[in-house]
Order: sequence, then C-alpha cells, then structure tokens
Amino acid sequence: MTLKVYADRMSQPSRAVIIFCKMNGIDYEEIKVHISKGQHLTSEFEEINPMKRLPAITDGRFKLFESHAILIYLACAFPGVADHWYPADVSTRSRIHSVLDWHHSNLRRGAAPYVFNTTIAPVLGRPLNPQAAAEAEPILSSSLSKLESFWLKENGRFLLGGNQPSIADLSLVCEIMQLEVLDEKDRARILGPHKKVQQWIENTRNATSPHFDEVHKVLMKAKEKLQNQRLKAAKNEGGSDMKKALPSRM
Amino acid sequence: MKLKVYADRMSQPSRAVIIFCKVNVIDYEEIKVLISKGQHLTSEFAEINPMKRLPAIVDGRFKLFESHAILIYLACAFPGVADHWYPADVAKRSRIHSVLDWHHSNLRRGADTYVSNATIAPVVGRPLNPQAAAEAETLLSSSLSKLESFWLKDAGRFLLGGNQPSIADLSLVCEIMELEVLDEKDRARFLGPHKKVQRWIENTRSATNPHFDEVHEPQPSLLPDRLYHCLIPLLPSAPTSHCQRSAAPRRYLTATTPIEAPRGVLPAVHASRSSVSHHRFGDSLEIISRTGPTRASVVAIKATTPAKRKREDSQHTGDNNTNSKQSSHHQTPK
Repeated sequence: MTLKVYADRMSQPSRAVIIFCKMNGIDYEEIKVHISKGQHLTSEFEEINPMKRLPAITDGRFKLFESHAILIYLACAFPGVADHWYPADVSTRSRIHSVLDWHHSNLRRGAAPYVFNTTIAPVLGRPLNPQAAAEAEPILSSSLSKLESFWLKENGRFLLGGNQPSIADLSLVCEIMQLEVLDEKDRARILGPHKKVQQWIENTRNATSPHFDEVHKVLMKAKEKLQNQRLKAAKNEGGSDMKKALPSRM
Repeated sequence: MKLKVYADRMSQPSRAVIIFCKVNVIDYEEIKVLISKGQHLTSEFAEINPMKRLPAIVDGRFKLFESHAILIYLACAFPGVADHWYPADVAKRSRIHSVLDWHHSNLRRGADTYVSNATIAPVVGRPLNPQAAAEAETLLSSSLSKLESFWLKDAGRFLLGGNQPSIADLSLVCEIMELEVLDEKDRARFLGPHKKVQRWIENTRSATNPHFDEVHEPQPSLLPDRLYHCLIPLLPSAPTSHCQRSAAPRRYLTATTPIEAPRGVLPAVHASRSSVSHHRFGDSLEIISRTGPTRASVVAIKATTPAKRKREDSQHTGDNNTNSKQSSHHQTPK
C-alpha cells in the first residue's frame, strides 16, 4: 500500500515533507486537507491524526504525525535516501536533533504566529491579532539572529556546516518561506539584516530544485493576492498606511 | 574524558537527563549551573551552550544541548542502554519522536508557562501575567487530556502502550513533576481527573527509583527568607529534620482518594550507585564526591551563609524560568 501524505501546502511543515518525498523519489499519494476549509477538524481526519494537525502520514497500518518525526521515519524507512538528509553518524545526527528541537520553541514559535497574526488569519476566518504579533516578533528576530550567528557560523552551505542539506534545512527553510506573504517592508526589516540566512535559503532552494518552487506555488499565489489587495487598499485610501492587511478575498 | 552534564535540578529537562544517566549507570560528572543565580547567563557557560539553556553536555570535544537530542545521543552512544529507552525498531522510534515533538508545543509550553506565571512570578518580584497564565492553563489542561485519552490509550504501563519506559516517559513525567509547586487545589484540579496520567507518573517513578526521588529531592536551602515565608502557607507542615522524613511514598491526588502523605515528604535518600562528582559552576567551584552504597543516606544542608545553616525546609520550588531572580543555595551531600 502506497504511503499517504496528508498535507496542506499552505502549511510550512507539510511542504517540508512533500519536498522530501519528491527529492528522494518516494512513492506517495498526497491527500490535500485544506485548513482554510476546516477539513483538518473533521472526524474523518481525526481518525488519521487525533491532534487534528498537519502533516500526517499513513504507511500501511502505521500512522504518524509531527513533521520532524515523519521526516526521520521517511529517511530511515525508505531505501535510497542519501545519508546527508539524516546522517547515520551519531554526533552529526544529534546536532540535527538539536536544531530541530530548538526550532519548535524558537523559529517556529516566532515565525508562525507573527505571519498568522499580521497577515494570514483572515484567510482562515480569524481576526488579526497585533498584540500576539508584537509578542512573536522578538522571538522571530532573535531566532533569525541565532541562525545567522550560530547555526550557520561554520563554513558550509547549510546548517551545522553541512555541504549538503539535511531534514533540518528543509524544515527550517520552509518555515521562513512563510514570511513571503508579509508586507514587503516588514519582510525586508525582519530578514534584511541576515545575509547568511538569505544565502542559506537560496542554497536550500537550489539543492531541492525544481520541487521547492513547485511545492511553494500555492504560497506564492497567496503572496501575490495579498500584495494586490494591499496596493488596492493603498490606492483607495489615497496611499495611506501600506502595512494594514485587509481581509482576504481568497 | 568523562561525560559532563551541565544541569540545574530545578529544571525539568535537566532532571530527565540526570535520571537517565543514573539509571543506565553512565559515568558522568554533574556540573551544577544555578539558573536562579544567573549562572547560565555567564560568558563561561555561553562557551558550553550559546543558547544559555539547560541542560547541556560535553562528551570529549562534542557539545550538545536540547534535552531530547541529549537523551537520544546518550541512548545511542553509551553501551548497555537497554533498547526500551530508545528502540531500534523504526516505527516504535518514530512514535517516540512524535510524542517528544508534541511535548514542546503542548505539555511543556502549557506546564512551564502556567507554573511560572501562576506561582513563582509573584514571589520573585516579576509581574504576574494573567492572560498568559489563562492561555497556558488551557494548553496544560488540554495536554493532560490528550495524554489521558491518546498517548496512554493503549494497554501498557507507559506512553504508546509500552511496558517499559522510554526517554519520552522520562521527559514528560519530569515536566509534570513541576506541578508539585502549585497550590494543592490547583494541582488537584489539573491532575485529579486523569487517572491514567497519575498511574503513569507512579509507574515511571517506580521504574526509575531510587534515582527519580533522589533527583527530585527538594532543595531546602535554596530559598531566601522572603520566598521561604511566602511559600510556607502553600505547604502542609514540613518535617523538622531531614532525618525524620517519612518513608511513605508520595501520591498524587485523585478525585476520591485523599492524599496519603503530606506534600514535600519524600522517602529517605539512597546513595547513588554510580560514582558521581558534583561541581557547582561559577566562581566558587566545590568538588564533592559521592561514592558507594556505604555512604550515609542522610543529606545535610550545606548553606553558603552561617545565618541559613539552621533552616530546615523540604520545599521543592522547581522554578526553572530563566528570568527568575530567586537566589539559591546549593545543597550537597556530605
């Protein structure tokens, strides 16, 4: 029975899992579960993942959720996955675990609520929450600084001094890509200072081409729509506050 | 070169790593880094872990932080660690990864934030944040419910239906132990409805004793006067001396069963099987060795100032918040 990947390409961890499958020639069926339509909250999906979160996989009778656990499982269970994705060497592997764990409470914890509460919430029928965004921003900024100064400090194109990408690069870069939907000024302010981070995003994108761009198409479409809405709003209001995000008509 | 474990036993993930080392007889040196004294913020410790968080380990020239990564490393790198801690089977191992990942944003986030805001913050002079506490309470409650209904749903004494503990059991139970510092009613409110969770905590404790209790030993001389007196009303009467500790096991409240032993009372401390030397990280390094089963099981308070030598307290405060201003005294065995 083919591996099934339950995913929404608007979800950062979903994208990481899909790109990984494509890169490694893993035979899978993508089952789209649209968060914006509440499909992750159905009793049907609850059978797959009682936590009602994405992504999730079923491999025969085996079910699994949490994207890092999924990426590790796929790297170990499927033949032909190159070692650099999840090295067999205990020390190298441990350092990947370390950055993946750090990610939960740092980059993910900052980036996801910041983007959600400044931009994406209306798409899911929720209000923007500037206070939550203001609380998330310092976590996001300090996480990007830590990426710049520590996780990317060694000579190497990828995290931890690697010259080839690991599952950690895929997971974290997919998270940062969510910043694409921000107002251009905000994005430049947040990402602009971090040259190594920007280079590393490009490196990861190139290393996983063409799948990276293909899987991010949905996000880029959302970005375009949001930008058009901002421009329209600016025109209608005579060029007033460009940073205000409008409820989406997506 | 011996493995070095940089830890503060007030920190839940630190305790999980130390208990793991003791249970698996891993030869290590514990280097105490006291969060309440800001020792994790020194440039000295930043050399060990630039994130300035605990625990961290150094194994030869290899440095590592994040407790889950450390537990996995120790399970893989040290011989003699039984398979149940981190099974070689890919599917079983993946499910352990799944609960460890879930833990970060659920149980850990709920418990840590709630305890910090609801209990410790007022007495250490930081402002209470009722909104953060309310959000954390919801998250903590729902996490405990998920443990009860999902992670413990299979027949088995441990998470994921296991009959022996894994690193996930150790990590999550050490987190829940933090709730010990809450007011009795609060703790009963959170834990009372969850019978499986209570049983699982006891199972994990039994499977890792005497180390579990020893590592969770309250640190009585850690409290300055003000904090001590603020917390006294939250406790039942404390024993007057460590020598008089009751042998009654600690029990969690159930909805119908009254507590069997007063809180803060622990079984007598047993000497560790492994040879462990304790360093206190910072400007006044103290090296104390504890060896062999012949050593006395009574633990004496080692106070850093004469005025505090007479204080007898069995309070375990468990504040691991890195912003805590609470000062502490290091308790060492003689």
